Amino acid sequence: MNTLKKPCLFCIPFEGKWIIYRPLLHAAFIGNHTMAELTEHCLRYPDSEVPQEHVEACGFLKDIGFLEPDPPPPAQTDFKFSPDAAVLLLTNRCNLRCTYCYAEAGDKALEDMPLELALRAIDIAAENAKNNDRSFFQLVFHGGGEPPQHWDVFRKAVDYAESKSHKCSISMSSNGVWSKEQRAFILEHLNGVSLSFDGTREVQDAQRPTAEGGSSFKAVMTSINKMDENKFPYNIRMTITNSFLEKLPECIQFFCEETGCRNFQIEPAFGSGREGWVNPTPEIADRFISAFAAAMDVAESYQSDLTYSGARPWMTVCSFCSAAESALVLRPDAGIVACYEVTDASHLLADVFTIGRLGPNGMIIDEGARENLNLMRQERLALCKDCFCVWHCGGDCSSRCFSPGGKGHLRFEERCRINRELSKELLARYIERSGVVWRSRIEVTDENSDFPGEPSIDKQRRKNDVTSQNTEQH
Amino acid sequence: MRLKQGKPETGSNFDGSQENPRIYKIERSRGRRKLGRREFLAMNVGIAGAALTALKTEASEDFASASQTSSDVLPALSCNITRSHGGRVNEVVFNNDGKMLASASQDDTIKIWSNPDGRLLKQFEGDFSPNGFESLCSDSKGKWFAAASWRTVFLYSWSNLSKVRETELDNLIDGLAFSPDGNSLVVLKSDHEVMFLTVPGLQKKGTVNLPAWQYYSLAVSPDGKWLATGEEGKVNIFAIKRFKRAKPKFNLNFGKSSSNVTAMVFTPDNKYLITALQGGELIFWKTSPWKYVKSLKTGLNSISCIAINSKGKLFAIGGKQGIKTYTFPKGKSKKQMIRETEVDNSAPASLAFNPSNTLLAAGYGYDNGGYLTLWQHTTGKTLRCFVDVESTWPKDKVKTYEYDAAGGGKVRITVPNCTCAVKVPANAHCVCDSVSGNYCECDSYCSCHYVHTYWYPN
Repeated sequence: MNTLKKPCLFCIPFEGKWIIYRPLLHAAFIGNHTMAELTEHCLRYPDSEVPQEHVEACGFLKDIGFLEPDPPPPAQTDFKFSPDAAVLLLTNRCNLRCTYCYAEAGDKALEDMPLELALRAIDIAAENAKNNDRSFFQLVFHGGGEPPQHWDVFRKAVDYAESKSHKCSISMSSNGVWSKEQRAFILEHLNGVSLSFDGTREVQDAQRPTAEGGSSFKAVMTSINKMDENKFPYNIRMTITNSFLEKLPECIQFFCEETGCRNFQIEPAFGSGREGWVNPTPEIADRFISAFAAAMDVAESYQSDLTYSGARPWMTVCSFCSAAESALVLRPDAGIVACYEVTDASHLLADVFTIGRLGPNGMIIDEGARENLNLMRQERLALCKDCFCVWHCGGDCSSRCFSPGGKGHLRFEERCRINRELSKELLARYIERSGVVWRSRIEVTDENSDFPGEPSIDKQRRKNDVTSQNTEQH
Repeated sequence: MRLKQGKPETGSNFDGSQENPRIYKIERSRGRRKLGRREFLAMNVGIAGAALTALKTEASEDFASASQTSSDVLPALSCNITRSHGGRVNEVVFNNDGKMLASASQDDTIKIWSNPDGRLLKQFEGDFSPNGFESLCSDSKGKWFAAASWRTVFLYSWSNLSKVRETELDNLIDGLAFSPDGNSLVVLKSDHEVMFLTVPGLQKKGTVNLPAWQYYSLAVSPDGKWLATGEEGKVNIFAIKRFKRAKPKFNLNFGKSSSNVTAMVFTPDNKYLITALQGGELIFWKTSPWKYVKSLKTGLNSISCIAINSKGKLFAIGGKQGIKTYTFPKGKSKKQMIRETEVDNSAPASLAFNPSNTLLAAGYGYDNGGYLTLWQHTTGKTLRCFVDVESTWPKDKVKTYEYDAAGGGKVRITVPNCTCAVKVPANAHCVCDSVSGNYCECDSYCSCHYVHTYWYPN
């Protein structure tokens, strides 16, 4: 990527000109090479004199606030682990057999979370929310299986969370294939659902068949219709595989016309089976980029929002997701993990992302593992500092870019190219919609943070240093 | 749409030895993206967050660039305090790609709006009619749109937003429609004569004299075969051919007394006619052969307007209780949209679906003011109201600026006159989303009405 880069200023080639972009200000416009250089000069030497013929251009930069100092970037992880969200990877049972499932849900030896473990996690989240002066705590049921398939514990966990004196927000990721009883319970007791649904009947049934190999489309549409009728909040998370990339715009149109949902998240799955993340070939990556851009056109025509996790220029983050920081992500075997995809101990990155256990008396956190993970993330961020996506991508999803065994980082391959191309496309659309200059709200979540810079990679610090949060010996 | 990675041009160092610094806007031409140069000037006047109306006075034919400023997104101001027109919006039509919307009003103006950002692109005056523009239609090819004010028919071009021709007839005009091929304009006059005019010359091609009845509504089938007129208790169907004196080929009687047919529309496939009665009932008719299909009670006290989407699968009706959408042909109720405003609760006078069938435009109003509202009919939400600050904001509350436009001519913009005139501090952002460093336009009556653009979450 040929960029003119100064701290927090990026100039991205775009159709013969440059997108001149300040990610921390969430501001961008399109200029020629001279404009890009002038902007860089004005930022680097704010008090210097500018030639007369450029006074107008400098005035423009000042008027749109492009020469303001960057707001402080978001802070790195606060080392005190005090999660106020309980994310329960409840079970690996599943009533579907999605062709790309990273957890191979339904195909492995059964693992269900015991009720007592779930209740303990809820207690911790509620207690931390109270101590941290948060107005509510969260209970989230996540994948690796279909949460309502472990119905008894699911129901009791929800009832328990609701019985707490502290307010609770309950949500889940689900495939939407529910029984009547389950649907009624979900609509009554949950605050939202992230629905995994892959599009038209053709795509949905091909990618997400039932465990018996049958169609899941009708069951999901029934759930959607009921959620729409009851104005129940949900968003659709769609996975697209290589075989159906060109169907993406059609699927989005289907969502817009046949459902009441207006927020869609698209994630690609480039592998050929249930083996987890696979980097695409350049040709497949190009196809995904084109299909996504066409799908964005369709979504815009319906005034709907289409997102992809690797392209979020409206955000400012220092890590891709907050799983490691503010959530107690709990596996059925009581392992505490820092990634939603590490659903069991056999995952290739289980060693890297397992940061503790939930014992009978509370969390037992492996601070060394947490620190190690944090250092790896900082390393990644430093490696990414030349990329204009760094402040919204946060170094990308760790499970996509860490090498197994905690030994390093994978190369920046096609996924990074996809992230950059789609981020650039989004910036161009923002600029187009805004007229000439895009400015958006600035989301700064923390203060007094320095730019990560080069971390001190001291391998001697990466020791296992087990600490317990209580006085008991383990 | 494939992303292109163009080669950046080799520029000089910024000392200006070769090329001056320039900024660009992304424009669309036939769906393709291209970069157009923009000027730096006027960036400090009423930028993001302010309501703008730019009226080009003379010169440059490039209407798209002359009306823009540095940030061309207009906030979706509430209709509570602002209007689209000075009188009721009688008719509304989209152009072929849905990016422009024309509204014809009782205030004797036609306004062309950019969709969905809401900029006012152009305004046309009428024939000093006391009722203003009562008819407006667009041809199927997206080349022309026509309107009628008093006795005069006006023809306009969509491509450069200019008036092409006008012609004065010998009587008042009650209705207007293009023939399917766009080569003729069908004009219903108040003396019950249907006149056919050529397009674009507006020369008289022929006439058909209708029986002297009281007509309340008019519809022409998309294939140009049938002309339907609605009166009390029945619909008359005329076969339009050879311009002879016609008597109705069919009378569709629905046997209810005192039920005027207030609105009608043919389905795009020509197979059905939907008639709306004053009592709030709908009747579906088959056209080939002509026969009654079914009735549908809508729950509205009366129906003032009707529109059907381009696929013929969804239609909308408007009445005092709001707008309702139904599937066709089953007639299943989909959404009801009620305009919440403290000003009035008038029935919409006109409805139009956009070409991609995702939006529904509705024209409302009384004698003192007209409102053009855009609905997302699938969710029932209001997306925006189209606002003309200059003609609808109180005169003592606005300020007008004039400056020289690139390429000659003057550009005039009108913005609300901010009583606080407070600069937005660096790193802060007002509820009106003004770019920091510029004037906050939050006046006492507008701060809660500024809504950020709805495309991207922030």
